Amino acid sequence: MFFRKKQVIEPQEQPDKSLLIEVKNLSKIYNEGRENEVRALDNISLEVPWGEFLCILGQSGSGKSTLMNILGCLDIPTYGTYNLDGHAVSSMKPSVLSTIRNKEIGFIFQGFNLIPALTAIENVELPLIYRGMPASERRELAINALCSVGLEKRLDHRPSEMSGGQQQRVAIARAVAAKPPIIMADEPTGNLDSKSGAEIMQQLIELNKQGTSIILITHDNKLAEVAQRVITIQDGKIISDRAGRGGVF
Amino acid sequence: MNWLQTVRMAIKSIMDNKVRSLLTMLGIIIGVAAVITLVASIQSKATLTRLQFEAMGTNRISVNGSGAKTQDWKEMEKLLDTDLKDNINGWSPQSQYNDWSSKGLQYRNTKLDTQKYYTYMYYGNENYSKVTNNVITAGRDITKEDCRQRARVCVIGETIRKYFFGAMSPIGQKIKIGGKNFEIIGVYKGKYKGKLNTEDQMLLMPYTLQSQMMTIDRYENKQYIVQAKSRDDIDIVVKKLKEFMEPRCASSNGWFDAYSDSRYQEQQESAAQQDALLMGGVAMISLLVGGIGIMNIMLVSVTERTREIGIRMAIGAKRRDIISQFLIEAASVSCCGGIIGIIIGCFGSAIMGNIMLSKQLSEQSWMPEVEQFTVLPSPMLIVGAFLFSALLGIIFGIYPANKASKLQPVEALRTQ
Repeated sequence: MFFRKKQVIEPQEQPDKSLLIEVKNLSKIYNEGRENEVRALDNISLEVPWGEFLCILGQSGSGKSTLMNILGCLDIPTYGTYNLDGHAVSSMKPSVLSTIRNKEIGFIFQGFNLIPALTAIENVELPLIYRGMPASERRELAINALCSVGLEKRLDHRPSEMSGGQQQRVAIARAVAAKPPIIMADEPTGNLDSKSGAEIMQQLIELNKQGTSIILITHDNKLAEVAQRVITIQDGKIISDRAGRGGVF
Repeated sequence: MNWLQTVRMAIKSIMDNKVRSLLTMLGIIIGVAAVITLVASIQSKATLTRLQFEAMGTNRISVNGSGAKTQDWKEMEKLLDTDLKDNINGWSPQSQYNDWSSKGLQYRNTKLDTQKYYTYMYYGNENYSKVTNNVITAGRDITKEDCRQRARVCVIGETIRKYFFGAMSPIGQKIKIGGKNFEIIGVYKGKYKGKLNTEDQMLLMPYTLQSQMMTIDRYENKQYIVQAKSRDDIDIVVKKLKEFMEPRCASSNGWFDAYSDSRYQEQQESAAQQDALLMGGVAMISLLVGGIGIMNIMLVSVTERTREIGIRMAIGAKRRDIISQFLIEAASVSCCGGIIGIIIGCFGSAIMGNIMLSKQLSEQSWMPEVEQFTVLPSPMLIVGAFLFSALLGIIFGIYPANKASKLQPVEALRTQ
């Protein structure tokens, strides 16, 4: 085999399988080296075990959304390593990242982010379609998910025909339909009135009780107390890491 | 992601924006309709021309000459029957009866009334009908035996039959040519839709009667008609005949010629093909414009739906999924346009064909009686137009689709 270059296996740190998320010395720097350099995340290290309800608390501009984007595999860090469920995410190709987002993570956004042209059930089915699931199976999963958030009567409604709270519940259904190990929720109650917001939070707590890890991003101190653990971020750095009240709303 | 699902989604997005989709398709619709109408009408025109030639007999060679001895002509006939046997379908003398007496064709329908008719009368042999592409509808053709016996029999054209006999059967009736009685043994099927100056008015007699019907002088023109087996055989036959007869005719100050209409036919056909290419090319430009229209609207759509693309990426769409979504959407738009264009094109070419046909009928009397003549576009043209419009959508969809797939999920999600 002299014509083939011998593969050199670089010694790599074996990711810790017992941890869901393992972040080491993570930095995200925009316009690095220039005058307008912004350190959105500055040397963050973080470990999240399986099944935890974690809240990332911070004012706007603190870097919490950037952290969520990286944790959610939507963005890649400038420096540092990030292992998700044993996968070294920071060195992955975009197509592999797509697969990870599809299989490992369910997103819930502040602006709901449903596709306006699709009905509730079609929106919920979408990630399952990208996974290549056969039609009958994904339809069943989508219906189950919508029923679990109490929207069994709204299957064929478009987002524009539903209230904010209902839209966010569709988003939750979309996130949980495929039963991913992690749910990432970015200000999920930000656009909702307090009653709908409470319902959404209740559903997140419920999901956590069933074993799903939840990462909640918020600027609201009161909301943060729901989590088992609260990390406060300021200027791209973790300034506190404490326990929350956990599971009571 | 399976593509059928994508097609369904694409069609849905077309239906959601009906007016916009229609406007986008308009370029393709006009382009495809124009290509189909133009190409179909030009192709039909070519078919019409071909049918006109076929009506006269395909691969027909006219042989004319004077000056050679009767013996020489006999030898040429022998040559046709032996050496050139494999190159020809048949041959026949074709001389016109010269009606010096101006008596015309006479038929005494009642004891007191005699009808007259002036027309073309030819001498031929038993092959004449075959090589001139004439078919007997009633009675029988002239036979070898008729020729040998110099039987006074004749086959008449459809127009003559109508003129003299109407609903009556002409077979066995007597008719006068140059004052001599002839028996009608057969009728040719009508070939043309016209009124005047057509082969349908023709009358055929055995060639052996020629010497009885008129004086033959030594330098009289000899005419033959030869049907070659194929276009390639035409040249061989013409060359052989010329080689053989030219010196013989020239030796006594005569002349000889053998020529075929197929050259003219070929020219006409290639001219029609060039027309089709040219017109098709012009129509292609409108297809190109239509394609650019699709690209434009797809680019707008990518910008409009940046957020949607971001959402799709966030929940697991790969670059490939986004590309195929936009490509299939573009192809669906152009295919829909293509289908509408094909339908309009079919109507268009039918209308054009009718105009063409009626023009031909009013201008030219020798319009062939053709059942197989259609102006509808050929299946190949339709399939071609459809595939081309699909291809157009894909080609002009590549750039917008690629642009969409290169969006960063974070950035795309941030746009409102």
